[in-house]
Amino acid sequence: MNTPPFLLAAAALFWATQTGQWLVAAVVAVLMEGPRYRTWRWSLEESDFMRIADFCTVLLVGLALYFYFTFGNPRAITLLFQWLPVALAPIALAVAWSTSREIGLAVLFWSLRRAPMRRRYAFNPGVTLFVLWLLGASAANHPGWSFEIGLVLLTGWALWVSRPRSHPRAVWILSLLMVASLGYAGHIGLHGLQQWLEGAAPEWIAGGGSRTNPYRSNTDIGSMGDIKLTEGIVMRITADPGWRVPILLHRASYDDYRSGTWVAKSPRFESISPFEVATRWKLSNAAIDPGRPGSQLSVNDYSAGGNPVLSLPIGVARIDSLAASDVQANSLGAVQAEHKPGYFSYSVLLGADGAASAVTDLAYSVPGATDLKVPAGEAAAITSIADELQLAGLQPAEALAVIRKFFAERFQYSLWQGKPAGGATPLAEFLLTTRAGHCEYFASATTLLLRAAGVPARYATGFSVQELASPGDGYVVRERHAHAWVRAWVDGAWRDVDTTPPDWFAAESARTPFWSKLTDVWSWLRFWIAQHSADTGTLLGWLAIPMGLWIAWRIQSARRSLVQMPSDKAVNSVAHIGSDSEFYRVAQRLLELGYARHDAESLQEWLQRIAVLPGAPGLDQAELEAMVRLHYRYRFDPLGLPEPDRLRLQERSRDWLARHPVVVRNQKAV
Amino acid sequence: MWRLSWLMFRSLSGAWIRMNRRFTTAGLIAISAMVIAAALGVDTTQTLAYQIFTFVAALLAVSLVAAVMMRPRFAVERALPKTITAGQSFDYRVRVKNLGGKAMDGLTLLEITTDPRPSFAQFRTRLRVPNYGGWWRLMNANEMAHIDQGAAGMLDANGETEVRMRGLAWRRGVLRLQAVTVARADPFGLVRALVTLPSPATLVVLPRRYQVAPLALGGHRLYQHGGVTLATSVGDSEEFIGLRDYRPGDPLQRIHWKSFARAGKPVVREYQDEFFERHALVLDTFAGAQAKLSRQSRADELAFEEAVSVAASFACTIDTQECLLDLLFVGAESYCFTAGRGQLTTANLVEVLAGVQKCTDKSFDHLANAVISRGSALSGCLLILIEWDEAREDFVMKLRSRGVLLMVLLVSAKEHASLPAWLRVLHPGKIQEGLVGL
Repeated sequence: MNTPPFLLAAAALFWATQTGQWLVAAVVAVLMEGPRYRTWRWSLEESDFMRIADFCTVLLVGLALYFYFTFGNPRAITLLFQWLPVALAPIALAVAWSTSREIGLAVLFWSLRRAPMRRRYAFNPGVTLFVLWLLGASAANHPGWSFEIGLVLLTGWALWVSRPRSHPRAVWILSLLMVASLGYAGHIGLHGLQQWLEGAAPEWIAGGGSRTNPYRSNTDIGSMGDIKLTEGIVMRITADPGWRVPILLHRASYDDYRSGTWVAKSPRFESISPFEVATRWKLSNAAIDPGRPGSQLSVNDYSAGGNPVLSLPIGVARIDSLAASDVQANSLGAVQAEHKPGYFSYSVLLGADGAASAVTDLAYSVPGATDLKVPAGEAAAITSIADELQLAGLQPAEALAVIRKFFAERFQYSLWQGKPAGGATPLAEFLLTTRAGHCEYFASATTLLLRAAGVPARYATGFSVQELASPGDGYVVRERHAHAWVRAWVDGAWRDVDTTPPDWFAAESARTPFWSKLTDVWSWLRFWIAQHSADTGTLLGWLAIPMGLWIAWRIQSARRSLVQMPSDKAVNSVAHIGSDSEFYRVAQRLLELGYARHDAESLQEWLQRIAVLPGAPGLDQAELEAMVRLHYRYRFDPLGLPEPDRLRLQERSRDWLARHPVVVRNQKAV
Repeated sequence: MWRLSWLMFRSLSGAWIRMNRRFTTAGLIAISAMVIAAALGVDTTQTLAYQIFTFVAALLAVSLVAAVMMRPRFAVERALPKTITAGQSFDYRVRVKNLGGKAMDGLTLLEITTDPRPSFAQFRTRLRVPNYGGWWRLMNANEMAHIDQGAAGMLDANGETEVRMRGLAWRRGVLRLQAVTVARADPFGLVRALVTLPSPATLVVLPRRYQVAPLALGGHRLYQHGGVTLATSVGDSEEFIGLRDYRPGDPLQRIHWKSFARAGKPVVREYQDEFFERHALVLDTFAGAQAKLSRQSRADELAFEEAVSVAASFACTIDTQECLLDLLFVGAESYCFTAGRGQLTTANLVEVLAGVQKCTDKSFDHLANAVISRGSALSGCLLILIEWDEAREDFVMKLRSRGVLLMVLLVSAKEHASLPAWLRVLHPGKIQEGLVGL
């Protein structure tokens, strides 16, 4: 299958409308259509195409690594598809500028080079490139109608040119219109379906782990068996020496508990304007003292889907060096940045008091009625414990101390839960019977007990920073360091209260698999390259140039022959060395004289046969054989024919032709 | 497990074969693009590939409906060659007539041959573990030939055209053509409407042959009991040379009664004993029980095929103008086919070789006895073996002791510790080089 004229150039330009890469597309488009205006071609062989394909593979792998390290998945995949047509264009260009119209599958597949298929499959890479331009354009995710229109027009063009002509044109046009309408309806439906799914099951779509949903937190309270979290590193933290571990990095708080799920009842996000510079965002009016130890830390984070929720310690006053187009916060302390998928970083400065003050904090609201609510389903167990601890009438600080002591002395950390006895809720089972659980149990129970004691409290989620990075500086935060704790309103400010037994971190670390070190090194490598992505991109670009030159040199040195094409339409014919040999005229004269040549008969065999035919006087076999030997040398000898021999061939042929004028006679042999 | 795998592979291969028939090249590209777009566009907020997916899906759906609605009518007639040769391309013509009242283009001709998918018994006995690679190799082994799709140009209403079909025969045997499918592409040229016209035919695929220099087998002329015409028959009959007058002592059964009546005196038929050279081309077909598919079994099968090719090459080369050539081998029973001097032609012998199968249920003695029983009439013997062992060595010695001139060739990839100097070894894949040295 061949592509119609200018279709590939149009597809490249369409790709540019979506990606904005006009220069790249224009160069490829001109090179793709250039052969229509030039008559010379490269005489390339399969091995040359293999070299070009290898170059494209290296280019593609380089791009894939660059995108992966810089942006991570899934952004790297979409970017790779976006640049796939450019990376593979050299193969299609080589075919367009060569005497070949097709390449074998072995050019693309290494396995077929070693073990070829018994039947050679060949294809024109132009058609594949056309499809890749469209897929690449779609990966740019350009909003608006232009993609849909371009897709229909370009595909319609390709199909129109190759359509069977016996079908009425009107039927064809009506069919395409119907297809375009169906396609449009289909993609609107698909998009709607995805949005509905995201709305109906936000946690499922959002995924667990390091992604945070500021509206809802589905806990594992009530789940049986082991809780498993992965080792993957999600953040790297650099903190000044004044910080004491564990550092609790808050992502979101929730104020309403509904049987295993914490929900944010007032989740409305509001934009925060940049403060002084475009990358600085003020979250609190508290005074800042950058020189105070333990007041600054830097976060290097990664967002797979974009628009991440930031990880912030309590009492944060300002965020610096955050290259986001917008930052929004809700009243429960969740701060979300508008940022593309991939790596991002920011610095955090704490207020002078180190707590979330009601007066100064802009992003964390003062307590409300919800912060004192104990759900009816848990009220019995909570009241029972509150009575046992005599929490009623205690000051908030005293109540807090009693509850801390209660959990520290009578509870254990456990990642395993057995089957509940029946009747009681999982939280009640935890408080009254098992007295063992993971952080979500401790945080939920503490929140509700504090509320029962009249202390406003919220359930907070985020990460606990404790592990020093190795390799690298600062701390690493793994997915399994995800943590839940309580924010309690004590003495006019929100304070972090963590009642989970401190040995939880050691218990988690004990489950670290032996290959964790290897994955850590890989993670650090990704992080390092991402930090230096701009340099890596430039390096890749500079590496591609000598590689391309090397390929060009290999092809040039392997085959220094440019073939002059007789016309644009007759690209199949290939000029042969020695095609101007005078012996062809001798052969032609023999044919004219009636000495037919068999289909598979070589010149030499033909001459030997006809020389002994009866009725062939005047054909001197020795003379003809001498001429044909000279002719063969002229045609096939890699060293060529020396000038004297060349002249001898010319003279003998001329002489023979003069002695054998055309006389029409019957065919001598069949 | 085996049955489930077989069903799964069979369904997969069947779907692939049906897809290749139902969709044009453009259609297959569209399906590939749709699948990639589906994977890339799974999150509709990340890329617009889902728009490609829905558009191409709609395109294929409309094309499918259009193809189902088309009801073209055709008649076809093949003009096949008599035989074709394994490993070589061949072509033939198919005459297509449009029986409908409308002109058509975008027509393609597809041949339906025997289903190459392995049967369950073959799948179970030939593979060690069920795997798709093995299934694919068995399918390749079963496929006799590949026949390209033939493109027909514009066909007028009630018009006729001739389509040239090209193919490549993979192995010797009988290629059974079952039907011709005439396919017409839908308006977009993606999906085809198929009209299958049963048209059973067979093509004999001859073994591939090598160039062999003219061979002088040597030996001397021997009395051939029964004359030329009955050289391969039984009974007391010599070559008839004419009539002559009765001489005392002539047996009464030789009196030619019609001539006796015409001439009025006894006339007898005169016979002459025939003396001429007679050579045997003996092919060893004893390959042992069928083995599981492996590198070794493939090498053994290749060696056997090469042995058949060598036999075919010699059958074509030996001049049967002045001698008889017996082709001897054992299949379901012992076979002997004779070429030359009014018997079969060498072309017939090659056709016989096209159908030779391995013998797995008999011992080499069957062949040895068949040859030795003819030993007294043989001047020379060309023995093509696929294995070298004691039984074969004994057989060669026996023939030698009877004064039969021998040329023994062993076609094998195996390394044998010690071989007699007179045994010529031909290595599969390098047969031509080996034959040049003979």
